[in-house]
Order: sequence, then C-alpha cells, then structure tokens
Amino acid sequence: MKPEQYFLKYSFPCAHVLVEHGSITEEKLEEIRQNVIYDKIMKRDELEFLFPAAFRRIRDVAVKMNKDVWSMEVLKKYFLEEHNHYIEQQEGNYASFGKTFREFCKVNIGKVTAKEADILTVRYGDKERIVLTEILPDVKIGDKVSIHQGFAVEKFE
Amino acid sequence: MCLAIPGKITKIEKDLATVDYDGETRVASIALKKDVKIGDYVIVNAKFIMQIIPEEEAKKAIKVWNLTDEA
Repeated sequence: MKPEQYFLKYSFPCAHVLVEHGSITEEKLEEIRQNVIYDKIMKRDELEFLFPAAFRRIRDVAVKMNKDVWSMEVLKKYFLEEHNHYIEQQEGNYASFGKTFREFCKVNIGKVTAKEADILTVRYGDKERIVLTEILPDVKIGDKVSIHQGFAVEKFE
Repeated sequence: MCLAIPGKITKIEKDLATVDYDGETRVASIALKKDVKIGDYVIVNAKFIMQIIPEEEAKKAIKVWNLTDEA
C-alpha cells in the first residue's frame, strides 16, 4: 500500500466529521470515499490541505523520527501510536472533549467477534464496538483489525 | 480536528432518527444503536448513529465546536 492510500484509509472516518463541520462538501466526501474504496492515490498536497490538524501532528512525529513526513514509518507511528497519545495528552482541541469522545476518536486494534452484512462487532480490552466494513470489506470473524470511529480500517496478520 | 460533532435526537420513526445540530437537522439510521431515545446526544458516522455521548460531555463539545474552525 502506498503512503497516500494508507493515510486516506485512516483519515476517512474524519472526513465525515469535516462534512459535519462544513470544511468539506458531501460531494468531496463521496469523491474521497470512492478513492478509498478503489484504492486511488490522491495528491499529497490535497491530503495535507484537507486534513491540516493531522498533518501538523504528523510533521512533529516526522521531525522526532528524523524521517520524511510521507514515509510509511512515520504514518504508521502516527496512526498506530502517536495519534492516541495526542488524544490522551489532550493536545489542541482534544482538551475540551470528554472520555466517551476521546475513546471514539482513538485508533484501537481488536478482534472481530461478529459479522452481519457490512457490520462488524470488534472487541478490544473489555470494550466492544460496532463498526462498518465499508473500507475494509474482506474481513471475517477472528480477524485482528484496527478501528477508527465507526469504521474498520486495516487488517493485521 | 478529528472529533465528531454530537447532535441531539429529536424524533425517531422506525429505524430512522432525526438528529439536530444546532438548528440544522439530519436523518440517521438507528440500526446499529437500537437503544437510543429522543433527547440523546449522539455521534453519526456515515449516516449511522454510532455512539451515545453523555449530555454534559456533548454540551461541552458543542460549545467548543462553535468556537473553533480547526479541522
């Protein structure tokens, strides 16, 4: 997977939030959705423009790691580790949000315990969440997957 | 900013809820969260209600959303 595709998969749940917030249109979200589903590669400058808060943090991570912002190592470090740390440390606007919110926004890795049509139940720790398979259709019960907000994002072997 | 905006449920009809965002309403499916009721604050992802947010947390979040533009 290319870094642009990886970034977009993890950011896709947030694109819904951007629509709610009026920063992008429903049409743009639909375009993004098609890009995710059909593994299309979006331009880096457009992604940086659409998700400025994520990139502000990713740039910090890249500096700390002394690597390029668009290297897979930096993106993986961000989405699978640092993203949750930023939320826990209540960086920026996260400070004003309560526990339920912060939990919903974190990236968590869990096990698929049920699947019904395009809806999964994923268990991690003592929690269970319902997520959509929209951008990760090829999953089955027992698979280890990451979830972000209402979506399953990545499958781990 | 990757934080969803909570809306308040004002109507439920069969599997669909009307969710109010500060005067603007949207319709969302309750298929994944059947236990929601009118007055609940919720997060919607892809037109599904995904999470119920405690009222106090939701109100605080809405206040912050109204003060910020960062995405």
